[in-house]
Amino acid sequence: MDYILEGLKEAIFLLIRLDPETISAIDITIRTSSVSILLSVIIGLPLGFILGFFEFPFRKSLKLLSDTLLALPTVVVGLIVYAFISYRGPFGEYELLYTAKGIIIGQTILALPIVISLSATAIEGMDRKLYLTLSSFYPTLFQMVKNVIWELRHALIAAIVTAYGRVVAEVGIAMMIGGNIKWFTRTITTAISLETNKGEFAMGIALGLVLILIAFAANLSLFALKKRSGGMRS
Amino acid sequence: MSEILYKLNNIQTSYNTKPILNIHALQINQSEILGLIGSNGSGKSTLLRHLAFLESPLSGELLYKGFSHQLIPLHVKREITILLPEPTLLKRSVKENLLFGLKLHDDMENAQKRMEEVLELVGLLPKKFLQRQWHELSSGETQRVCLAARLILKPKTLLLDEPTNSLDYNGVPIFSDAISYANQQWKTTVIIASHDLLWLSSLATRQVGLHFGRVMDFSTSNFIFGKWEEKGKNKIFHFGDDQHLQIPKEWRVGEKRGIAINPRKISLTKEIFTCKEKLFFLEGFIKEISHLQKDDEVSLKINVGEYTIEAIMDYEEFKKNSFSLREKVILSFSQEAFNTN
Repeated sequence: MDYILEGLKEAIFLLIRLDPETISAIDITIRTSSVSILLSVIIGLPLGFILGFFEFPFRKSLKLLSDTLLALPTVVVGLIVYAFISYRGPFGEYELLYTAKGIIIGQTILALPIVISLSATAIEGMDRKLYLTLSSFYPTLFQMVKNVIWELRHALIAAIVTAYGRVVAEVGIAMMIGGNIKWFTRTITTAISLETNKGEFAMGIALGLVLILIAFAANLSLFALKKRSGGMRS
Repeated sequence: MSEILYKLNNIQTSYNTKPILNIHALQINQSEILGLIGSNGSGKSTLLRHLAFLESPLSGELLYKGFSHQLIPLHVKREITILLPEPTLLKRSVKENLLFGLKLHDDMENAQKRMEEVLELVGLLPKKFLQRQWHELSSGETQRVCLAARLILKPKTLLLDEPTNSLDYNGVPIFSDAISYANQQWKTTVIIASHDLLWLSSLATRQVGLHFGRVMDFSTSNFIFGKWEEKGKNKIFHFGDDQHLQIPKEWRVGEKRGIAINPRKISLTKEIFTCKEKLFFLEGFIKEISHLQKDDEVSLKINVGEYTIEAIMDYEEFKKNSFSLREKVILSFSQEAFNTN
């Protein structure tokens, strides 16, 4: 029990004195996860909207596929991306393996089904009354899309926060694609994994605390946003 | 003579093979206030959504100002606005809800003044309500803001589906005034579906009955709602004063939701009489007499138990019988009176 408490004490100390190695892992994590979420939102949100709003052939099959990919194991994503960007793979010439860019590609692929599927579900489940109300003002298609997204903003942001939570906490892709290289591709999760294996609990706990803090901050901002715009009662 | 605004010919709509609308012919004139009456499931709301071009009929022709429902241009469609039952506000402030339609239609001129005007029309104080969020309103206030969000567009056609649903006793006359104002000041054609027959008859210049998706061959209301008791081969409706109406099940008239009686096929006499034909007799007291000048007819509203039944007769016949208010009369009619077209 003592070594856990010692680890916790040491962890707080590491955070207070802004230990460079710890800060580097936090920095890389925030940068890779933020960019990958941004990319998955840019690609996934329009696809989710199309999937949830319009009727077209094979829509249900595509939705089923997207839902299935929600459970995509990170190591499988890591394996596929590895196969494509390794030096023998079709994109080997771009030298993406063991780089932060490679991690971003993998994490974007991981987050995409979450953004697509959850946003499609939110739009699909849109209240018919809301749809009719918007339609009763005869908007153009662009106006309709813009206003549906605005009206469903809480559900869509929740989808993005969920995807962010999954990306920030994943270890498989960061380990396989990033290679856990100190100062370059070592993220919070890979660092925790490595430090725990080395028996260095302090840094593991410190990074674990930061990870929890990031997840808490993401959810807190969603909560604040909902409250500010009246989406929930205090 | 008013111009024809809507023209419906052979409109048919069904949901999952269940027929909802089957309208042979219906015309709606410009600047009239048309009341749509009928029981639940009679097709009133579906008809309104068709008139708003939010839904299309399966077959038939629906014309608005000569434009068919497939080809109506957006700017013509935007002359129409509909207030749906259970009105929904966007998750924004009252001000943003009012501005929503104006922004969409790119018509922001005098927006502030128009917001204040329509809020006052629906009985809400602009200073108090403009900045309120949608979740800070009661259901009645929501209903009022929803109507205001339609009125601000100064629509040429205003469709209202059960607009008095959530209103308190103060709200109903305010809505009446707002609707009349739009009709008189902006020449807005108003089409209202409502179960509040009394309110509707005070406002509408014409009423159309719907029964199982069909337009009645008479334009006033004689719908008998409520629970029909099944007894052997008959269905019985109780008027609440020991009187009842008994019809054979095989007539299949108003199987589930009641019947409509054509007021022009009801005979009024002062005394009961015997007749070889199969007739139905009811007894009641005249509560209202009005002269329908357009066709030189007289409408008599008769209290039968807890219900009101309207009979319409030629002015000459009325004069001959000299019926008067509160007089006891016998209503008689045959199966023919139940028919719809």
